[in-house]
Amino acid sequence: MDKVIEIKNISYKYGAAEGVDVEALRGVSLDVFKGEFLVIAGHNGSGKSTLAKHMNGLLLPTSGEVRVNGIPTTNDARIFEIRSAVGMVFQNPDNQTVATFVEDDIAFGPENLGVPREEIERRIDEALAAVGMSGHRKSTPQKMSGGQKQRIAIAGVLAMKPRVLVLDESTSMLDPRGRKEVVETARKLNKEGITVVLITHNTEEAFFADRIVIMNEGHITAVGTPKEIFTDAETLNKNRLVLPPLLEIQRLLVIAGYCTGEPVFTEAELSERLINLL
Amino acid sequence: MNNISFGQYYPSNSFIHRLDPRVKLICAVIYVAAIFFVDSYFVYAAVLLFGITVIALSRVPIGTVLKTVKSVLFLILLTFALNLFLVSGDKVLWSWKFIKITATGLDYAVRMAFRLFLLITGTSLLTLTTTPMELTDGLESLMTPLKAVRFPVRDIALIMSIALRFIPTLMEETTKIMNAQKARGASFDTGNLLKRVKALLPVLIPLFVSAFRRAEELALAMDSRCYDATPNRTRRRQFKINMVDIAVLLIFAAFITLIILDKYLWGGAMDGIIYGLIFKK
Ligand SMILES: Nc1ncnc2c1ncn2[C@@H]1O[C@H](COP(=O)(O)OP(=O)(O)OP(=O)(O)O)[C@@H](O)[C@H]1O
Ligand SMILES: [Mg+2]
Repeated sequence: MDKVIEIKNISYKYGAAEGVDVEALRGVSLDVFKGEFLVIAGHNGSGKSTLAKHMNGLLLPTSGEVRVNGIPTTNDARIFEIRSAVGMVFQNPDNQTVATFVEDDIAFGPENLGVPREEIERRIDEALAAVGMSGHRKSTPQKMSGGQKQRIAIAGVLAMKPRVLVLDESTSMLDPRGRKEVVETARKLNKEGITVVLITHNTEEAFFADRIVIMNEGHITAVGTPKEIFTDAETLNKNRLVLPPLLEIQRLLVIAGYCTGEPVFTEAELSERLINLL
Repeated sequence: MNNISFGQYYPSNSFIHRLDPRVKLICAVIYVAAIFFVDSYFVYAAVLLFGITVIALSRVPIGTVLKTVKSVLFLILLTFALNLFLVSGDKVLWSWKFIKITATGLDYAVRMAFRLFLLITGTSLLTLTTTPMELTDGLESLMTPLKAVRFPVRDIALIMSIALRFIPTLMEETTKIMNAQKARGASFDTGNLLKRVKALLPVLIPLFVSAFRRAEELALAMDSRCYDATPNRTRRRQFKINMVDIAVLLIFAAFITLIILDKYLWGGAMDGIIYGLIFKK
């Protein structure tokens, strides 16, 4: 499979200049494959955001190398090529819009890249449609719900035509409904061919992942499919992650000897299973 | 509060609203400068008439325009009083102990107060008929020649638009913090001035901390969206001057010519002519 992002044994220290030394990444290697839905999970301070910021060259590794589409992120001349290929959405829905009106905000990225005017107008419409917000072109994000604001932020990134969408805890400040909106949007975009890297400490959002990467203390401590990760309670425990209730029930059922086999990831499947047990 | 991002803007589709914001900006700047050259009462009346015509054309209710004067009413009255009592002259109209009102004083006071009034109403007409976004875009376009001397026109325009964008967010946040402090027993509207200022500190500090955190995340988001990627950035909105804009500029130019002529050529003689016409014996 094609690799969109190659991370080779990178380390990163914050505050090296001031001599304080916070080692946020210690020898991380990871490939992001084209078209996959990758979830990076880990508790607070495990280094997820630091890793994310290496994916579009916002941070450059202290040692090791990151390549996007084969271009090293240290290549200054092509850094904007990298940034438009790897779009990034952050945590706080209020801090990512630069303009009062939706259309002006979405235009920001393509304007910066010097995309022709008619093309920008087209991209605004396409991006809004892709996040299910057509018709909000002339509105202002100020009055929207958190979930809608984050979708506008995603649209702003999509207008740069990225190959990868990185969501750094973009759901953590939202209510359950907003969270669902954003995750659904990410899944839809992934089905349409965009590679998604979703960073979260809410493990429920990892159900749909092709792969889950678990981070702890600046290391990658586990990589696997949701099935592998969520049946390995010990690993989750060691990395201070909690099993979502849906899977905790199944784990207890297995321990008690009521069922065996593969875990299921939807409430409907679980209730079906429980009914069969009765 | 909910409309704060639009400033004073009074939405309408009048032809004044639809004018090129650059034309309106230029007119406003010239207007402000010209007001200081207005000399005779005749021209004051002409400016007032002109203003009323523009307001009528803009379809902004007179009351809305006058409301903008309310916030500076004190300043106008103060100017009036200072001129009235402090300007000395020969012809004393009224006196009481050491207070004297002279004809010259009255004349000055009326002129100055009226000048301020015209200044405020005239400029607020600009913000009433133009959205802040149009103003920012217009300013950016007008400042374009400054790029030649490496003046960061684009950055300045972006700073203005981001400031506009964050005003409501920060207002909301201030209300939230104030409510949180109130819930803990803080009081913002009792006590003397010093006490009130002190009560504001626990609001301002968290507000600043949060503003800096926001700025940091915004900067990351802007970098991620390729800010400063190329000097050949696309300008999405392009202004086109049309015939109406040109006509407005011409009318405005004629108007300014009248003011200048009155001051330097006729020496306020218009007043004399009018007095003559009215009080003809
Ligand atoms: N700007 C910074 N300066 C110094 N240290 C930092 C900075 N940003 C993060 N760190 C430290 O680096 C480590 C990793 O932080 P990072 O933000 O990558 O973690 P995270 O997994 O994203 O956490 P969270 O879930 O809280 O977002 C933490 O110990 C953190 O305190
Ligand atoms: Mg983080």
